[in-house]
Amino acid sequence: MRGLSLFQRGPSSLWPRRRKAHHFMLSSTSFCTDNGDGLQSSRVNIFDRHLKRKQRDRAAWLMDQKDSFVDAVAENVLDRLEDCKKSFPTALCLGGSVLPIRRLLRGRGGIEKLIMMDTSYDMVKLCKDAELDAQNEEIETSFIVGDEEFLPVKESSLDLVISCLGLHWTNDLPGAMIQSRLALKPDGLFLAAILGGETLKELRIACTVAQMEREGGISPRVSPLAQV
Amino acid sequence: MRLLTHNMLSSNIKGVTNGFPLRIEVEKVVEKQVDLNPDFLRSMFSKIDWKALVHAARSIGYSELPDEADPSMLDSDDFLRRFHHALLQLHLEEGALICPETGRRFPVNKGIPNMLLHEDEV
Repeated sequence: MRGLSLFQRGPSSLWPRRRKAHHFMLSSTSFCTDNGDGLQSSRVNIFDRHLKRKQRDRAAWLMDQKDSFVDAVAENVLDRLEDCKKSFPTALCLGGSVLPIRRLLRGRGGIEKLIMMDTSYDMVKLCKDAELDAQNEEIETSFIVGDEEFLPVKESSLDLVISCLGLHWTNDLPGAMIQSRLALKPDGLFLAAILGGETLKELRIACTVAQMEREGGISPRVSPLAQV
Repeated sequence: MRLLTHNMLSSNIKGVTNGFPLRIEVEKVVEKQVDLNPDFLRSMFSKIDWKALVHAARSIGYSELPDEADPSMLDSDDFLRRFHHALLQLHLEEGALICPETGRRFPVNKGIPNMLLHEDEV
């Protein structure tokens, strides 16, 4: 993993850490689709969120609940909780891989109340219905359908916001992060893993070359990703 | 959806300044037995917006919570039992959450509130 960053609300706001070199994850640094102020002024919507939600519904019906890649990412994210001395009684898990986060949490971070949120109702339902081992049952878990770009959580109510492989689909990543920050209490922790940078570079190149050859032009085939 | 969750949700429609607390429209409430955990309740007490909880509990038909509460009441078993019941045992299974400012309905389906916004609301 190139850099999986965490920031803490407080004076020391951002400290990316680097670990051994995998190429699939990048830190959640600013990703602006425009040259504006970097806040919520992105005019271009890269992702059709409505369609994305349908895709995630479909993924919920079809997916293998134990994907080793996703598990590795989730494990790596959750591992950071063990680096913190602080405990996080109230946590929000944003969309993406909510199920592995819940399954692999194993009492880390001292979480007492956990909110699982995704834009897809079926994904949330799947997570709600999934059987869990005894260790996680002590956590009060609730489930809501919500959009991380329009976070339905009141200000200063969370100790931890965690997102595993979900934020790379937001149109307004800075906006989503600002809202997470507002929802966090002072000294709360934001922990996220996203796909970024040169992920699937080979696929992107192959699609471009093939399309140039066959159709004489190119169109985007692979989602644009955040750069570190 | 438990009232514990309700206590943290707020309406996020563009232009809404005071989206908390959401009103509750009840279709079906279920009661699920949960073991009483006094430590959890004590640590949650400080994070709960009491007025919103009392109001929410009343709107789903439980009116045994006192209007005002202070931390000293946490020593009373009777209070803890009522607090526990309202916060964790009552589930809004079907119904809706209503934005206090715009009256927009957020449906609750099988215990999962849907807080997604329509395109014209963002």
